[in-house]
Amino acid sequence: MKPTNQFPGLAFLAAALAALALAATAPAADPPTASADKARQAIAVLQSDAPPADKALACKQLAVFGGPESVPALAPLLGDEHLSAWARIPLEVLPGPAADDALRDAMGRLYGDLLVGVINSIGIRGDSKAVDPLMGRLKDANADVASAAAVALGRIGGAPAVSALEASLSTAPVGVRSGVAEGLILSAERFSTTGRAADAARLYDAVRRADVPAQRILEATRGAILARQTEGLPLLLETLRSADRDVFDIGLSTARELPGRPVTEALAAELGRTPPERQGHVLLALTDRGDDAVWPAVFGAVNKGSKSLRLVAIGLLERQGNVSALPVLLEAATDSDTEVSRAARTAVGRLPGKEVDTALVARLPQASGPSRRVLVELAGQRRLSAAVPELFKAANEADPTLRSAGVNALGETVTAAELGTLADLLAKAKSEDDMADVEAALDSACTRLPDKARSADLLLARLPASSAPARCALLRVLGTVGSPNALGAVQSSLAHGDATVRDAAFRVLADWPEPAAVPALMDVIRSTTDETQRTLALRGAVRLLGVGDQPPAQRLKTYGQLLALARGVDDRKLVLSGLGAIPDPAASKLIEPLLAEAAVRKEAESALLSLAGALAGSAPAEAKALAAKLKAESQDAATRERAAQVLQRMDKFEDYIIAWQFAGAYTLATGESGSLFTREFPPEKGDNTVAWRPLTAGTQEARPWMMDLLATRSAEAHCTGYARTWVYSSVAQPARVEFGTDDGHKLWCNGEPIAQADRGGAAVPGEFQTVVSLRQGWNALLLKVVQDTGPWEFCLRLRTTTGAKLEGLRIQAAPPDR
Amino acid sequence: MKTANPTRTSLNRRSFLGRLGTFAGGAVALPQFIPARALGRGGAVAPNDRIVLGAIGIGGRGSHVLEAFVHEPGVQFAAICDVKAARRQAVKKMADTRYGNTDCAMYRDLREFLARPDIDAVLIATGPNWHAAASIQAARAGKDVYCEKPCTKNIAESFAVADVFRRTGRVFQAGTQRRSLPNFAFAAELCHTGRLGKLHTLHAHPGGLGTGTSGWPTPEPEPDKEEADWDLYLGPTAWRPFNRSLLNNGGGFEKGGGMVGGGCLEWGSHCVDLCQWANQSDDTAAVEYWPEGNQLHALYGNGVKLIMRNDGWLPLGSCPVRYEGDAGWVETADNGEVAAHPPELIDPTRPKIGGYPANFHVRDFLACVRTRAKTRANADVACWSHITCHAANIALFLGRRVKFDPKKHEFIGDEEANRLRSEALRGPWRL
Repeated sequence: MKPTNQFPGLAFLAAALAALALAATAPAADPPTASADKARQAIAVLQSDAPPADKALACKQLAVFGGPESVPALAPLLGDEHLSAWARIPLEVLPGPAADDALRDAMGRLYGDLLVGVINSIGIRGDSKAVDPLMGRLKDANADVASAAAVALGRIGGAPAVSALEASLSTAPVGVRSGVAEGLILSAERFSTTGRAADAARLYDAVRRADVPAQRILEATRGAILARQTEGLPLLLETLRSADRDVFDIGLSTARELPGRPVTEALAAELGRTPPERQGHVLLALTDRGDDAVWPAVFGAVNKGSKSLRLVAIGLLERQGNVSALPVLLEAATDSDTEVSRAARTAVGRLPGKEVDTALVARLPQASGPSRRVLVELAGQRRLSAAVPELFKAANEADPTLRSAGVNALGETVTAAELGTLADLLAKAKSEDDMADVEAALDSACTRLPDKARSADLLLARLPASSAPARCALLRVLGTVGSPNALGAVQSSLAHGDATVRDAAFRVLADWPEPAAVPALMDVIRSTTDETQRTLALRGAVRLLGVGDQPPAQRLKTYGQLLALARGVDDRKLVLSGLGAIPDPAASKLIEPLLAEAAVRKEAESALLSLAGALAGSAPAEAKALAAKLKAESQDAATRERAAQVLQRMDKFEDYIIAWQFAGAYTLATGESGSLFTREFPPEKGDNTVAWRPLTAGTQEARPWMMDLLATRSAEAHCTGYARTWVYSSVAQPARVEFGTDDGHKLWCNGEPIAQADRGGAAVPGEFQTVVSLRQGWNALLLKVVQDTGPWEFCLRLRTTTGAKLEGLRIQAAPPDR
Repeated sequence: MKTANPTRTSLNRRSFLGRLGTFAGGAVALPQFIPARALGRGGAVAPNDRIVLGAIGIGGRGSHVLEAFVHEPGVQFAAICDVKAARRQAVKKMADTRYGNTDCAMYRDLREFLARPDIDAVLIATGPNWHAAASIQAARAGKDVYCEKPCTKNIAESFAVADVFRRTGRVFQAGTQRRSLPNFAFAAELCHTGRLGKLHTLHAHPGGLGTGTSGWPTPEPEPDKEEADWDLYLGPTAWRPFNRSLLNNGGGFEKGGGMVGGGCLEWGSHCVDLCQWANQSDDTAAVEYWPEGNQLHALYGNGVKLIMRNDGWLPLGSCPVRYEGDAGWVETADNGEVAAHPPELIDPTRPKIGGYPANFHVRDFLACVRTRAKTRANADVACWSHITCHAANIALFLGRRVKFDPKKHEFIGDEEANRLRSEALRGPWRL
């Protein structure tokens, strides 16, 4: 952040300020003489004809570096409407009596807001010599002045000040009494902290009885309770019984402050006498005291009393409870009131500590009825693997609700070793509901267990001997797991003798999570006579073409086949919905013919717009051409507007090169990451087998020209990557490469190294510059960017050697011989 | 970008918002709120718990927070106070449109606004020059306060806010809404539960570390008070001539204090606050501060080091923090993600909320207005986290090491630093 110093001013003062600003990064303090010089310079400014701006800043200098010798220069400014507050900045903090004298003197000759400011400063400084004149100001006709004097007296304290304030409490005009009360409360606070509790209580009580604003009385009530400590308990209880909500509220906050176990116990006892609508508030205050003595009251409230109190108690245990809360919460967890039981189960689920897990597992074997069901659910909620044997017992019991709870909990707890046993429950299912429970549990377990292949194999092993319903369930779970073996089994099941199995297998195939299912889905599209199946397969294929990392060309080939297989308008719309996302100019060749078909023209234009956006980085010329054509020719106003937006966005890229291909990330073994800069990876060795892919441009709204390598999702730290692009120049000419990288870089032009820096830090546009000789025709740029941690990005553009825009260049990310 | 610690794991970018109901054993729970139904209202708001809200100084940030307020059940927005007519009218239009009436009252002077007895709570989103003074005035007038950050200009204001809210029994919430977001709560819990081992280093993004003194702008013709009341705009700040640019950039006016401007308060009021939470230092400040290259380092009394740095962060969004212990580290920021080592520290069921919304923090405030409990970013919490920022700024300003005694509220043997703890307010305003 830039300093906000905007003072114009005298040269020597500016120099002093510059020195001060520089000091922000200097390693050592100014020597005393430097501070004295600053003070002398500032005093000189105050005593000169310098403009107010300079004098104001000089005041600030003196606040830090000035001494008593500054006071004569500052005092005259106290009467200056514009500089008075500036002068008080140093006068309020300068040590010694000179500043006190100056402020006191000013109090006698100022009025209005300037006087109030001076009185406030006197109060801050605690000038006891000012008590007499301040007492006189208590009767000032200006209520602001009198109030300020009262508060200042309260800050300064001492017997005369306190007496004057006490006397004024009833005699001062109504508009001043609030300030007088505040002064007395400040005095009382000082008494409390200096062991004079009785005096403090006396002052608080005086304010409580006075005709002052309600807020002052509330403050005095709080103070009166706290000053008396445990003896303040009756007054505290009185506030908690008050019908006045504000008084009750101050009681609640004071109940959190007043220390002592007797207080806790008395408040706990008060809970039973409190109206139900206030019990929750009192219990919350009680708990915030941080006194262990409160917990019996909280435990007691969980299972008796009003519902609102029970819910508050349960909520408190949820946030602050431990294993000792388990018995009461488990009792509440079986309550007939579902809101209470649900809250209690949630609370148990969140109780911290292994001992809670141990206690729950230990209770399970002996539990029966609703308690057993709750424990089973909690075992699942807390993923207690030690409870698995008992959960299997529950999953086999006669009670269907218990069975269901057991199976659900197993889904959250089984390990890979127990997955097969869980799958075996399919064969034991007593109903469709049982079957659905086991399937859902298998689904949860397979989602949670990390070794997908092992999970798939365990399920596949049970497939042959399974009944048709069980087989269907296993196939659906396999659809969650994925893996090549599972896909094979699903494909085989498409020819199963049972129609329900065939249907289940097909639906699983249509929802398969990986692109590997595309060929099988294409087969279905070609061969099926069932229109529903055909549509589902087409949807599945389009969806899968949008995921994974298949090369664009391969995906385009499949899209071409899908278009050929498309039978109607809906089919073509579906295919178009995916085509526009393929970052390859060739996609337009598949889309453009469909512009002629009125029924899908809108979708085709939308696909071309998406394509233009996707190509903005890797093939800007093609992207611009597409957007320009739509802007000019579309019959739809919204499409023309969107096309214009694409063009505007591309214009923001200025002349930074945003058409890049990327290869990487390349990493090294742990401990070798320091060699990432020097190590030569395949792209810089001219390896033709390197897999290059387009880099997405414009990922950052404010800096669309910054190429974000983290967006490649290839790696995040301790790696390196390469970006390449081609620049066509119509003539041979020199050009300046301006670039920034985060972190280190090496740059080649036409295979020749032209720049490198092993460094860390942000990518700053133009931080690095080097001049290259562009050939006539295509020129290859290759940039290596090393990543440590944090952002990983770069930006690069070509300019003339004088920094002007270099006209007539063409850029493309793909090799020009393509 | 290079960092001091190369240890790194890949991030789990999956969102598990749909699985909020499942918590693994030992997992860290979400920040909990006492739901309205728990106070016996079945989700409805009882008349006694209706909160009448007013707002002071509503610009861009204020509008965002005010929006969060008015969407909460039981909140009735009744009045806007702003020195600018255009702002007053814009907020009134929003409120009147929302409620289908013309009841929203407009005030130019906060003294008249605060004199309204029916207003329970106040949102303060003025420029930072007003934050502490307005909060204190509101508390003295019996209002609860939600105040945007930075809440104070200097150490003295920090203590004054804490003292006044303690004395008045009013509820205060600093607008450091990250205290109410699950990723930051999760990271703090990892420290509190010892899962990072012994905590040794905290990292906070300050959002800049440059310091300087506040300025005197180029004078321009002053508009009519009804259009923009310049005197009230300056409020407690020392006088300076009217300047429209300064008028329209109130969010940065005296941010970090009149004596020591800028510095680490921009994001430090968030990130340093989060570090104090993680270090369980809500009742104290760091005790030693020194500039270190382009960073500011500080040391807490418990031996934990705080590093304020502007770069070298994982790509997790704005306002990042990082906590390091001898058994692991955690880093998180505004996209809601958490990076940690070892990776097992991350609870996959943890909900992810990115974009630093204020609504959770607003709910915490409203719940506390009703229960009188302490908010997550109450006046004491805000006091100490702001003091760490102010003391850091003083070290930056003086360009050298300073030592602070949190018990005595003073720098040790350092007259220059001690004089920077406070700044006189323009009359008639006071703390």
